[in-house]
Amino acid sequence: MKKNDKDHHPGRSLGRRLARELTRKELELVAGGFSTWTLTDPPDGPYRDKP
Amino acid sequence: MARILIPTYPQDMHACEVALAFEDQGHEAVLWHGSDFPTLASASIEIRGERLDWEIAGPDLEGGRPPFDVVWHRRPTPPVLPEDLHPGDRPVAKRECQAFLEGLYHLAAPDAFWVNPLASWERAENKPVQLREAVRAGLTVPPTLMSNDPARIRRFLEEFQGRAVYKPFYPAQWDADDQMAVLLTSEITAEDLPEDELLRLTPGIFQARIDKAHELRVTVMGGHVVTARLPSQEVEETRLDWRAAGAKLRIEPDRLPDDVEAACLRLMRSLGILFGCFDFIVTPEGGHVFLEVNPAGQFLWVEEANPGIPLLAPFVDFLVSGDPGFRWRPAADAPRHADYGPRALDRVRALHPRHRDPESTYVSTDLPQDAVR
Repeated sequence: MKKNDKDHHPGRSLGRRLARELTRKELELVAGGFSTWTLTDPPDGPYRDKP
Repeated sequence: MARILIPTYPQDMHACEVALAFEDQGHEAVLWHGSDFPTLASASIEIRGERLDWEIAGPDLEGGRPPFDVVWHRRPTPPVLPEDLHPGDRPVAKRECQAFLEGLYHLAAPDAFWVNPLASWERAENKPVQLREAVRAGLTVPPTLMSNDPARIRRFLEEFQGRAVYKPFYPAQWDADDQMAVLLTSEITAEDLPEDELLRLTPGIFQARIDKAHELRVTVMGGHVVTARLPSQEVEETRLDWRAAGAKLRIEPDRLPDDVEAACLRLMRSLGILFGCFDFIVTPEGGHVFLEVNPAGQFLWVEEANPGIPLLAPFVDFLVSGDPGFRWRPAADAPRHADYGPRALDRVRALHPRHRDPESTYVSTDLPQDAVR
């Protein structure tokens, strides 16, 4: 998984420029193996929201 | 028998697994799926003179009445309003839901054992506060700049030329039709920065990049400390951020030096929390560098990766104990993730269709590039 370097994303935030772009299949494979967290439900979040 | 209330969301494996283990010990666990409110679930608070009565009700929700001995403030989830509510009424309904539920949380079980205490949540999760308090507690923190000031950011990156990383304050993901963009800890140089007018719109965390021998995930429950070693430098994808391929890591038990452990407990006291998942870098010289503490961090994955590192059993015992200074004593029949994980997955699958999914606050909808130029 590499830093997004395909495009300069004009008008996009720094975070979006640095985010890794993954297909849904790649996303499953990245943290695959754990039933207790995934990249979309990461080990440090989701953080508490205002109820 | 103890009664525990667990505010969470429908697909939360941790909540289901802990609830199952709790129930098997003869206790009662009540899962409150906040995203069911107000469409599928209802809640009431009634005050008559000195008498306070409250109730939550909804799908799979029996026993949603006081008293509770324990509240595991796991993942309180905001209400989800239906799409067909008039746009003009949404802000009002949302405010009313929030005000009502905040009151409910405050009144629900003020004398219960809260993990973590309600009053500590916002402050404990705040990254600038954590880093400042970590230093005060005696922990080493990387040189850090949190800013939206382009000039200061550029000076910082110049000072740590080629040895700096960028992190958000909050998880961030962008969802498009066929892919997702996920923001993890990223290497950064001045060349990566957008123009100043854009850079100043989104503050971020800029840190000196610290050399790693390996990393530690430290889960603290009361006074019980579980340290796991993550050999993040052995796998290319995890060298910068182990979340990028955590399942590839050969996780082993480890131990914190006494002075670092004492500093972790001081930090938790200063943040007012009883449970937390710490992330540390261990440098090639053997120094321990604090990155963050997650007051609602995931923890069962460590036992999932290495069954020799018990976390489910101590956590259940911690909740039952009601003891802020809890120390775990292993028992022969202690619940294990290997047994409860599959059962929890079955429960999640059974529950999920009957509940509303929460709206994620950290996933944005990404638009095609043409639409944002």
